[in-house]
Amino acid sequence: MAKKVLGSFKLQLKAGEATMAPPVGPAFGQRGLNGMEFVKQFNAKTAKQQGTIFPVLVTFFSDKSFTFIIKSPPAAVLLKQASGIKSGSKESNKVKVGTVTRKQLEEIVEIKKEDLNAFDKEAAVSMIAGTARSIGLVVEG
Amino acid sequence: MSRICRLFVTFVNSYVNNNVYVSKLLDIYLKTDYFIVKIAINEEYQDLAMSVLMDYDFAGVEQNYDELIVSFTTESYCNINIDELIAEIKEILPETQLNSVEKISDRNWNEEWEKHVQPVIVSEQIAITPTHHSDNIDAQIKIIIDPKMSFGTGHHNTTRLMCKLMEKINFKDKKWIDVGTGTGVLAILAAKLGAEYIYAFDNNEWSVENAVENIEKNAVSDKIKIELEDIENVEFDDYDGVAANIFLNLVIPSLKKFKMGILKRNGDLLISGIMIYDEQQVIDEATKAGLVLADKIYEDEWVAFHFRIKDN
Repeated sequence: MAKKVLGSFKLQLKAGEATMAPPVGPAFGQRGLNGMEFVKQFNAKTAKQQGTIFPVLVTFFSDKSFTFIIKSPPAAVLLKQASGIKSGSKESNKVKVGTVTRKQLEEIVEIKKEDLNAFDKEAAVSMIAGTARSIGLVVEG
Repeated sequence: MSRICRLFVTFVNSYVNNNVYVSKLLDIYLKTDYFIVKIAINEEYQDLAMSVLMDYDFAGVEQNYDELIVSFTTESYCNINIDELIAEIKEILPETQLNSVEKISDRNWNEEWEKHVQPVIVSEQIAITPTHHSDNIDAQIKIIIDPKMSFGTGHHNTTRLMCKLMEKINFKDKKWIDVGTGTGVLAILAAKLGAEYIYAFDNNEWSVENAVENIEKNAVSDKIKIELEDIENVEFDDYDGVAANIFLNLVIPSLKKFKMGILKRNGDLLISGIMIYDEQQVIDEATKAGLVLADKIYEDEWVAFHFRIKDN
């Protein structure tokens, strides 16, 4: 029996820490999907990367089944991690200048490789550098 | 909004301090409500905003084409200042706007799926079924599970693998412990396989409540004790077996504890919830902890293990 794609939705979740709390519970629940199964699978698949955020694209079908793809973390998230600066801390609210090196940009390109279409390393590095500048980071080297 | 919320918590904290009952109530209040913060940001810029959000303790984010929907537990929400968060995103994305903040109560989000749960034939002798299909199922061991946002209906490989390992083991008059019981399915199976006593625990309120209901439906309440507990508070001592369908990050640090649980009686340790990519790590760590692999079985990308105490 062929099953029909009914739609898809996008979440960003912390690796290994998904629960039935919103947004997972309501997102799956309102479409009649088994959220518990997603939680088990997502946490098992991301267990080793705990502490990182992963975008997930969930596609669901007419028979109430679903599949999902875990993408690489957003470049901006990886850049911020690499720079070591932190938001949300009161003391650093005004002065927040972070730097990333060319080597760090290359490492991020490596992680993002699969998600970048028409992969060209130099173009990818300058794209990631652009992202770095837009979140207020200085690119060194 | 968040100021009121913080004031409320400060007030209650100073008022109750040593009052266990009220602090328990506060605990329940904090755990079961969520704040849903909707922020207007175009899809193409949402990843940039994630670089700010990543430092906030959110439960998760849903992405719409023109909006980021960020969920916080009440406890986390009280510890942040939404105006500051928005201001910080605005530094990168000046067009950002707060659309709304909404408080929602926890409920059984999985209810719609649960209404249509179908029975699962696990093996020649074991079947797991919801009450509404129970009459149509004929199995030597029939387990009735009506889940309420709890894990363990037999629809997932990890539960089925565990059942298959369990039916190869002699449970007669044995004493077992079920780690992260969920719906209670494995504890119920242990009882039906002849176990004398099973201690089952979970750190999730929904699961504990649901496991109690399922145990009653299967008429095995006299053999199973269910508790709301975290693994670090549970004493693993003097059991014939440990069943843990949990996940890698909890398995690895708990292996020594599991071993202590079965040491005296030279018992059995069953582990599930592990993906094949992590198989070797579990085996290596278990070996280091003084356990020996007796059996392992697979379904799709999942593996389950049977460990025993190493002979000295």
